[in-house]
Amino acid sequence: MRNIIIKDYISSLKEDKELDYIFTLLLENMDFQIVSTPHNTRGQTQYGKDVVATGKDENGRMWKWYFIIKGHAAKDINSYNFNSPDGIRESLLVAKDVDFESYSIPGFNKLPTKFVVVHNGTMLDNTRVQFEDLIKKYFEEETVEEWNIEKLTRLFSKYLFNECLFADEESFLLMKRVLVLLDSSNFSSLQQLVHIQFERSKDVSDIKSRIVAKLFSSLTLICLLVNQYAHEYNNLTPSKYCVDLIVIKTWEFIVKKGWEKEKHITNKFCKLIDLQVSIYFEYINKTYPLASAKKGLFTYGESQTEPVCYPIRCFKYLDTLLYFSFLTETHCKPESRTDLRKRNIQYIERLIEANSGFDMTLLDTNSISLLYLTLYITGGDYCDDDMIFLGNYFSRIIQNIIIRLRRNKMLPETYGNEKAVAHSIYAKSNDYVDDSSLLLFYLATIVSMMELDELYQLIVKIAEESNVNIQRIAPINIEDVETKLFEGNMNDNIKIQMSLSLPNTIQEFLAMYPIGAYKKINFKCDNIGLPYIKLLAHMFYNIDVFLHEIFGKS
Amino acid sequence: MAISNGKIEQLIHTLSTPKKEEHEISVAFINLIDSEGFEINDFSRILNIRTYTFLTVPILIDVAKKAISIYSEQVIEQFYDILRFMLTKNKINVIDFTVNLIIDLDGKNREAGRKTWDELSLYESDFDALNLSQQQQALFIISMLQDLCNPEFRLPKILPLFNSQDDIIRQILYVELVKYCDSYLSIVKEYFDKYVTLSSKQAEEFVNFYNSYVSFMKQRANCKELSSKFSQPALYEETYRQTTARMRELSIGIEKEIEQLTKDLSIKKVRPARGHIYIDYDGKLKTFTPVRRFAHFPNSVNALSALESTEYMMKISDNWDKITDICEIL
Repeated sequence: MRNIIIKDYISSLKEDKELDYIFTLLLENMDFQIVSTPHNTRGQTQYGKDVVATGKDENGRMWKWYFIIKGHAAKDINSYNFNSPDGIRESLLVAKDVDFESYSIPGFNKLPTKFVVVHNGTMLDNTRVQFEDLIKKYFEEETVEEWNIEKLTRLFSKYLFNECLFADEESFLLMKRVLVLLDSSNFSSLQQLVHIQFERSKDVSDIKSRIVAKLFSSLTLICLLVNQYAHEYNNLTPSKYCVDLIVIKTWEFIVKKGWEKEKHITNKFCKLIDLQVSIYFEYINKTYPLASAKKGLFTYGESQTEPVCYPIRCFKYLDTLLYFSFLTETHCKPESRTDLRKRNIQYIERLIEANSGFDMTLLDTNSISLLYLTLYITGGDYCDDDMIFLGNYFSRIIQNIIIRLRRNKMLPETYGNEKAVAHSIYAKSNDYVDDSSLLLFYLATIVSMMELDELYQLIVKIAEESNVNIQRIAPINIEDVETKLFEGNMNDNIKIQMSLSLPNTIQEFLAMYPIGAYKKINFKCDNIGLPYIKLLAHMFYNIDVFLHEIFGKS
Repeated sequence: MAISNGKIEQLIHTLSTPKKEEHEISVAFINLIDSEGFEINDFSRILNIRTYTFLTVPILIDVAKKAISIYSEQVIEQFYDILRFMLTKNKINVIDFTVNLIIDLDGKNREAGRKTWDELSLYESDFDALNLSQQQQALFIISMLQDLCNPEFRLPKILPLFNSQDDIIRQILYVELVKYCDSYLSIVKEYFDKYVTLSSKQAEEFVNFYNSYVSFMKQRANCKELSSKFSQPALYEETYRQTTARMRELSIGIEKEIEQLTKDLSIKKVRPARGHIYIDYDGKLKTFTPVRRFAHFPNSVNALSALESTEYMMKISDNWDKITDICEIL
């Protein structure tokens, strides 16, 4: 059964990225030392060699290994793709002709060479004759191997899946469940599966122990498997959810262990982030052209439920795009940062302008997206048009709050309770709470900072008309914020200030609630250059942002 | 309190006086409507078979506008009886009156005009919008399509304007239809295929627009990531439950109506125990026709934010005479 899942998975991989990626993971778990991969040669093969590694064969003899990887369309080898340019024949001969030399690895150049053709399919019998003939003519005995789907399944099963992810029966069963339920967006099994992986490693203290390596391999495998099957279902939502969950939970684990300064660990964590980038890239590439069309996030076929689903979907999409913008901007080359940032802001602005669902803050917790949007745009270079965009956008948000208040007697739902909003699609339901608000305080802060007096006056009017209790929050223990945030449970670390009054003018507001008074919260993720993962945790758990995070000064 | 019979007799007397100018007759009606004690039910007393002969189109328009200015556009319902009667006598006048209201500068008059158009099913008439002046055609297109109501009553007389020789009219129609398609894509195409015979740049553009819109909608519908069913299932189910409960409430209302109808017609209610095919008295098999309330619902309405729907309502009731540029209406 396990082997069927593994075989099915391996055979569905494509050469570019997918097969390369997991194959490297396999070699690492087989105790090979990777010398060169397509990733670190920027996708260019080294004269026929996709992966170069050193390691022992089954008899314990040390070799340098040249792996020639053929996947997807070329995975089943026939005489056509065997003889075609860049086919097996040419790749093998080129790999033999041009040696790979490395002087940084002691003894590497003197090691005997093994050539391995790796393909996640089968080889036709008549092609095999030609293959054997080629080996006989040009290669020494026992220096060429073929790792086909059967051999790969055995190796992946033995060294990777059974060692890591399927090491216990429960994980195996859960993984099966995850894959079966993938398209239903029921992620409870996935949460449990990820939880088990961390539970297995909770007592480990040595960062270089095999348990830690296995943990990261397992987490990567979960992401890869989910991503692969998500593609088959033509729905990347589970991939995104899965990688988000894993990134958040891994950072929580690292912080709790106090390993945030360990290069060995952060390198592994950054590999997960790389995986996240590629998943987000695919997700946004697929959805953005549709989402950014006029009312593109609105679903016409389900239009009766859309007064609720559409605005909520808009903010979720904004979170995704914001996170991706922070992520790509932080990780791009310094020389292309300005251009990328400009482009990211344009993408965000186009999306918001195209979809009026962004103007409807049905939930008080929409403040998370709004604060991070403001932070993203004002947190670096921006132009006058960007400020005009923000001003117009906040104006629309505030006007919509007023109209909804007057028309439906509803303000944004205090607790971010989506179900209560659903219950109130026609009339305010009993479980809909809107008598307290953090959002209005956040909006007042933003428009005060931007000196938008008219909008500030509208917020004061909303507060007067609705009699809503304006509140703001601060952390009880600043040191605990990061752990609690990534744990997803901030409630016992929040102190709330209630019944705040909104004075008549912006100046008075800024004097009463000075921006400079917010104390900086030191996040460990900031120190390793990954400040944006805070946004990921906020949006994942729907935890409000402390203004200290946005405006805090040390 | 209603107006006295004496006042009505006085009106008839004034109308019957020979050599009365049209505007004098209008003033007589308007004075009466303005007089103390006049109320909405009195319209049927002054607009009826007795006054019918005096009611030319300009007079009827004056009276209607006065009535709307006092009682808002709903008052037009009080005119339906006389208009139905007029339809049997002089259909052209009714169409003339209605179209004049539809293209009026005042938003409430336009709304009353469109209500009348729908109520009297004037789309079935032989009215040809191509006979209107260029400006009237433009206003007719914009007004008829601006409120998103009853597309099946509006489009049959709008789409033939694509056959106009006037490039500007075709262009205005194209711009308006493109917006209208957000709400009624397939029904617009249906009427387009039925009525548009002239090949023109705008007709071609519309077909291109339609094709790309359809392909976008297909892609969008297949995008599970942006579908509430797949990406927000819990929220979707919860909201869906509310909408079906709402539909149930509405259907209870319809059932009550049916019950009343069976009572009124003294029909005994029999419920088929299985299926929907029955043997009639003549031995033939017949099918029960399901009772349905059917209306085209504009998809785009649910896509509007509170601010947009307010702006939309304001645009409909806008008085066009305050607008200096037609592009503001478009």
